[in-house]
Amino acid sequence: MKEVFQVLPEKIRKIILKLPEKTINEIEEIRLRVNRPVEVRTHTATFVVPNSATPFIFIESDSALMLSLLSQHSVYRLEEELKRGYITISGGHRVGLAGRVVMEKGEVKGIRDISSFNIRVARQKYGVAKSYLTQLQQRGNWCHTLIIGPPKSGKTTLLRDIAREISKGVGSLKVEAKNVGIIDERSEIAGSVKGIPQHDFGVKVDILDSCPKAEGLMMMIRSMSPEVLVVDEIGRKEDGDAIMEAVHAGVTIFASVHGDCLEDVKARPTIASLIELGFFQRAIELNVHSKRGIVKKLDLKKRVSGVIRT
Amino acid sequence: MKLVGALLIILTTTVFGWEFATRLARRTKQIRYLKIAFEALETEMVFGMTPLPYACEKVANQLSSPLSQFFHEVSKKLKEEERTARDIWCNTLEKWKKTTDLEASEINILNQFGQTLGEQDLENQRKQIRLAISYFDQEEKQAMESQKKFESMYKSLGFLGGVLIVLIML
Repeated sequence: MKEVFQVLPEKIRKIILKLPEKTINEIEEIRLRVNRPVEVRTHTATFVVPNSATPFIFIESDSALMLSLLSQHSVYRLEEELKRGYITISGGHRVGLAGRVVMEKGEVKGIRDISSFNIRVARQKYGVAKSYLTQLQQRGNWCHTLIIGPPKSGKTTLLRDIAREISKGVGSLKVEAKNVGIIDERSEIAGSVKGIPQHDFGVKVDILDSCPKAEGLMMMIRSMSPEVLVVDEIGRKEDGDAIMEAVHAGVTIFASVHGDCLEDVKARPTIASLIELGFFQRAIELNVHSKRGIVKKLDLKKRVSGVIRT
Repeated sequence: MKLVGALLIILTTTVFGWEFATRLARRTKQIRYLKIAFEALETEMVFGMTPLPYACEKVANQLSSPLSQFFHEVSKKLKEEERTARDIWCNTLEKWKKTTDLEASEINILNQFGQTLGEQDLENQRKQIRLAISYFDQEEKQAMESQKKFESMYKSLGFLGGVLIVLIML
């Protein structure tokens, strides 16, 4: 949270620091909109600070100061970030931006006159992957795994923890540490700042930050010889093709996808064909309320001939 | 006695004349340094993508006093204080301008530049720097002209003024 406080203007920081410590530790989002009260969200409640009777109103000059603090007084360095609409700050936290969009040649060039900030606090949860690991490996090899869950069910958190465990190696299961490649299109898994991951991943992790998934998968295979590839939120046709390609290249895939359950994602042609062709050996279904998951073994016999298994 | 007094008067007025003349020369020189400073700032910001506090620090290190003091001060305050770059730039400028030989027009250019400092995207930031440099170019030309015109005049005026006072008092 320290990093988050550093980008908040002093007035707001003071107000938020006055909240009980337990609440501070549970903060998931801080929303700041010009001429509107500041809103804080934990995963159980949303409230206005300091209280709803006399809320603190975030004004234009606060917004300018906030942008200054976010960019170290150097908005000129945020070209890419303003195009994507969010800034990743150290600690892996993300600040979403909205305001007046500037276009150039029919493309979004950036956001000017920023009117809304949404600070999303990133929290690492160590050990969420522990209970799954036994079922995700087979005789010392990791299985191709698909993580299925609706938004906010903890897919990315789980994926991050799995990546960490793989790169460290799991002694109790006699699985060696493997080289892990992460294709982090939306800078969510690793929360990289200038290419350097802000989350702890052990030693053997390489990250392609804000790289399109399909290209990233191929780039990684060509350049970094990974043993395991981790990719978030697959869905487009190119992603599917790239995953097939990667599996053929002998790389283990860990991917996540939006959806309620296995049946649900089978309605999507790309994912369905990947599952039908037997590219995935395990699926984890995550439940949004309990944040617990069920591991399903996908039928290996369905694998089409011609797919080389090692 | 009279002679010593007369000499003292002439000496004083001559020194005054010289001071005025060198002030003109110093202004021209400082404008030239300002241009160099802004070119360095452009390199750091646009090509080097250096964050503003560090860009100012680097620029300060390339310059001599009094310009270096300004950039040092701005850089220090950017790192320490929680205010917008605009505030810091303008406040520092207000205090610093007394220590220079620059005139209101140059200070205005600097002030104008500070209004958008660090708040614009790459392209616009670059335009602002270029704009400031082109203004400084014009100022430099004017400063050089007035230097040529008035430098020797001030010098002789100082001396002759002294002589005049002595003659009147005799």
